[in-house]
Amino acid sequence: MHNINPSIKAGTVTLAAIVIAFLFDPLALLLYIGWTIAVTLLFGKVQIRKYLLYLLPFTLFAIGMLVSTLLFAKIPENPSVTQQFLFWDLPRETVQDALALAIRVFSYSTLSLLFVLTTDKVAFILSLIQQCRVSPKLAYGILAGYRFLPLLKDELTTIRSAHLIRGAKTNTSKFSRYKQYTIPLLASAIRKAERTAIAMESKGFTGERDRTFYRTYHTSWIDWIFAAVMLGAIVLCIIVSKSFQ
Amino acid sequence: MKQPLLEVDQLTVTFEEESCSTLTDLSFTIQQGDDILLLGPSGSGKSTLTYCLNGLYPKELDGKMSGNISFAGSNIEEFKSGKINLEVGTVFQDPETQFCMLTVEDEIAFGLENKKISPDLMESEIDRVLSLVGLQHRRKDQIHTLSGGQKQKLALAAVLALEPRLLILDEPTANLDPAASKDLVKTIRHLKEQQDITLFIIEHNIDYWLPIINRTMLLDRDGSLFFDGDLREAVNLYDEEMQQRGIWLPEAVLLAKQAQLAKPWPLTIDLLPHGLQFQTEAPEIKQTKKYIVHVENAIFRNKDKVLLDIPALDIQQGELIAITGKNGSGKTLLSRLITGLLKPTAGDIEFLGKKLRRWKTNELYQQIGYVFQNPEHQFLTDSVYGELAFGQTVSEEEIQKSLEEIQLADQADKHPFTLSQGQKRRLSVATMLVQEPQLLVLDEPTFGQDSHTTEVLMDLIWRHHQRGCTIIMITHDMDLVDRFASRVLIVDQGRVVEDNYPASIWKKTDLSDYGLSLPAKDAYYKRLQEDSLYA
Repeated sequence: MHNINPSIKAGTVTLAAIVIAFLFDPLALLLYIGWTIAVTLLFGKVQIRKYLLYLLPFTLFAIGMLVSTLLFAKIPENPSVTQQFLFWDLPRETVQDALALAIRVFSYSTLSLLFVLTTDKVAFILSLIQQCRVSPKLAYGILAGYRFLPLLKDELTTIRSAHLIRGAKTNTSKFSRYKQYTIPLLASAIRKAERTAIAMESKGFTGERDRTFYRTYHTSWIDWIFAAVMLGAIVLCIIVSKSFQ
Repeated sequence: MKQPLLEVDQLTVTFEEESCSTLTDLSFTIQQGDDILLLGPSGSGKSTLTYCLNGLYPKELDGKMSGNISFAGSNIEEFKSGKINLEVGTVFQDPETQFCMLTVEDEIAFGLENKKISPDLMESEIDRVLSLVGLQHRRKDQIHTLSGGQKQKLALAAVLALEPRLLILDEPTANLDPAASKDLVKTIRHLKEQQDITLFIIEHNIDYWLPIINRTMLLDRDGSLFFDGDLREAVNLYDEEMQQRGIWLPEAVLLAKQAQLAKPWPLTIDLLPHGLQFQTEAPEIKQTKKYIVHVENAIFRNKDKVLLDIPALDIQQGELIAITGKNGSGKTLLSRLITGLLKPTAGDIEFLGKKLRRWKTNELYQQIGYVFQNPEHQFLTDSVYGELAFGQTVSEEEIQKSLEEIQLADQADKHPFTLSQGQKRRLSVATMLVQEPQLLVLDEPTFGQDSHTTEVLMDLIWRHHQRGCTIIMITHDMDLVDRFASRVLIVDQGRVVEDNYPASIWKKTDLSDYGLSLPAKDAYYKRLQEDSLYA
C-alpha cells in the first residue's frame, strides 16, 4: 500500500469520492466502507488502535450529521410510511436520507484515512512534481513551509510569555490577544521564509522543471491495478446490495 | 599573473528606502586559495555583499546596484540562472532556516538535483560530503533532531555538494555556542586540508578563525573598504578606528591594550610576552542576606524526561549572576522557572518571600523584567517611543532620558521592527528597565552584538545593578562574566553543577567539560603557568 504511487493513489481516492457522491444506497455504501477499512488495515500496515483513534472524530461527526438530519428533515411526501429506527417510528424517507448522508460522510473519512495513513508527505509532493507536472517552485515551497509549522508553535509560546512580562493585558478577549500576537508572528515568519528562499536559491534552485531526482517515482501496472480494484469495488458493492433487496 | 577567481569593481548598492548607499564604491579581487576574513560594523552591508557575490542581487534587490562583479573572468550576470550559485556557495548564519527538506540525505540531494547530477552518482556524493563534515552517522535522520552545530555542518555539507570554488560563510557561528563554534571551525580547517577551496568568511568572532585566515578586509560604516591586508597590520594600525566602529578586536589585542603593551601586538594569547599586568577590579559583592529568589526541589519534566532538577537555589538581593553552560543544557528553562513564565512540574519557587503562584501576574511583572533572546518578540507598539511608554506611569522626561541612554533619541518615531539588530536589542532591554524592576533576567543579551552595543548595554545594566536591581544574565561570554558577575552558575544536563565566584571557577573548574573557555586574562595566566612548568 505504501508503495503505490502517491499521485495515482490520490487520483483514485478522489475519483472514488466523486462516484460515491452519486450513490444513495446505504447498504452499498456500508459495504464499500468495510472494503476501504479492510484494504487500509490489511495492506496498509496500519495499527488497528491508531486507526480507530483517527476514526473517532469522524465517527462523532457522522453521528452528529445523522442526528441533525433526523431532527431537521424536510417534510416527507409520505409521512404515513414509517420505519422503526432504534426506539422511534420515523418517516421512512427521512431515515433513509439521514442514513445515506451520515454513511457517506463516514465513507469519505475512511477514504481519506486510507490515503493519509499510507502516504509519505514528501513522497506525495515529489510524485506530484514528477507525475502531475506540478511546478517545483510551488512543491518545494510547500515542503519548506511544512518544516516551519513546529517552529511556529514554539514561537507563539515565546511571544505569549514576552507579552505577559511586558504587562500586556491578558484579560482582554481572546480575539484581540491573538491579534496582538499575529504581527510579531507574521513578521518573523516572513523573515524566516525569506531566509529559506535565499538559502534555496544559493543552492542553485531555480524553480525550473529541468532537474534530476534523487528519489524517483514511477507508475507501474500495480498502481493501475490498485486504481481499477478500488473503483471496481464500488460497482461490486452496488451489485451485491441490489441482490439483497 | 594568473586570473583572479573573483573580481569586484566599483560595486555600489543602494536600497530603495535608504538615502545613503549600503555598499559604496567597493573594489577588490579574490585569488584562488585566499582565505579572507571580512569585518565591519553592524549595518555596513556585509550580508548585502554576500548576496551580490553569489548572484542573488540584483535579481532580488529592491534598489539600485552599479559596478561589476566577475567570476573567473566572466561577468556574473552572464551566468545562466542558478549557475553562479554552483561556483559560489554560501552558508548562512541561522541554522534553522536553511533547509527545505526533512531528512539529512534529502537536503544534500536537493542541491545535487539542482545541479542536475545523475541519480546514480548521488549516493556516493552524499556519503562524500557527509564524511567531510563528520555527519555520516546521521544520514537517514530527520533534520529537526540535529543540534544547532550539526545543522550548521549539514548546511555546510549541502553547499559543499555543489563543489563550489568559492565558499562564503556569513556569520556561521552567530547562533552557536562556543563549543559548537570551535567544532565548526575545526571542520572547515579539515576541509581546507582535503580540498582546494577559497574561503570568504564574515564574522565578528575573530579569535575562532585566526588559524585559518590569511587576509583581512575591513568595511567602514558606509560600506566602503578601509583596509585590505594582513590582520596583524590592521589591529596595529587601526585599533582605535576598529573599536570606534564597534568591530571586535582579538582577545590578545584587547589584553595587550589593557596592559598598555607597546606595539606591535600579537594576535593570539600564546604570543603575548610574559609579565603583563592587568588592572583587575573585582566587582564588589554586596551581602544583603535578603533572598529575592528561593528555589526548593524544583523539577521540570517534559513527558518522562527530567529537563531541570534544582534541589536548592538561593539568590540574594543585589547579586549579579551569570548562568552559563552548553546550548540545550537548561539555562533558559531555569531562568523561566525563576520568573514564573513556566511552572515547575514539582517543587516550589519563592520570589521576595512569597510563592510564585500566590503572586498576581501584573504585580509580579512590575517587579520582574525578562529580556528574551529575540527582541522582536517583545515589541507591542508601533514606535520606539511607544515601546518605552507602554503601560508606564513614568513622566515624559524620564522616557526621553532612557531614549538618550540607549542612543535612540532620534529614532523615537520609527517602528521597532525597522531598527537594526543592535538597536532592537538596546530597546528591548530599555523597555524592561523603565519600570525599575527588582529582578532583571537577560537571555544572551550581548550575543552576536558588536562591541559598541555591548558597551552601551552593559553600561545600562550596570547602572541599574548599582541602583540595587538583582541581575541574572545568561551568557557564553566569559570575559563579560569575569568583568561583571559576582557569582556564576554553570548548568549542565538540567542541573546546576557549579555555583561559585568567578575567580574560583576560573581556577578550579575545567570549563572545557561544559563547552566553555577561560576569559582571556585567565587564559593568559594559565599559559604562563604552563610555560614555567615546561621551562
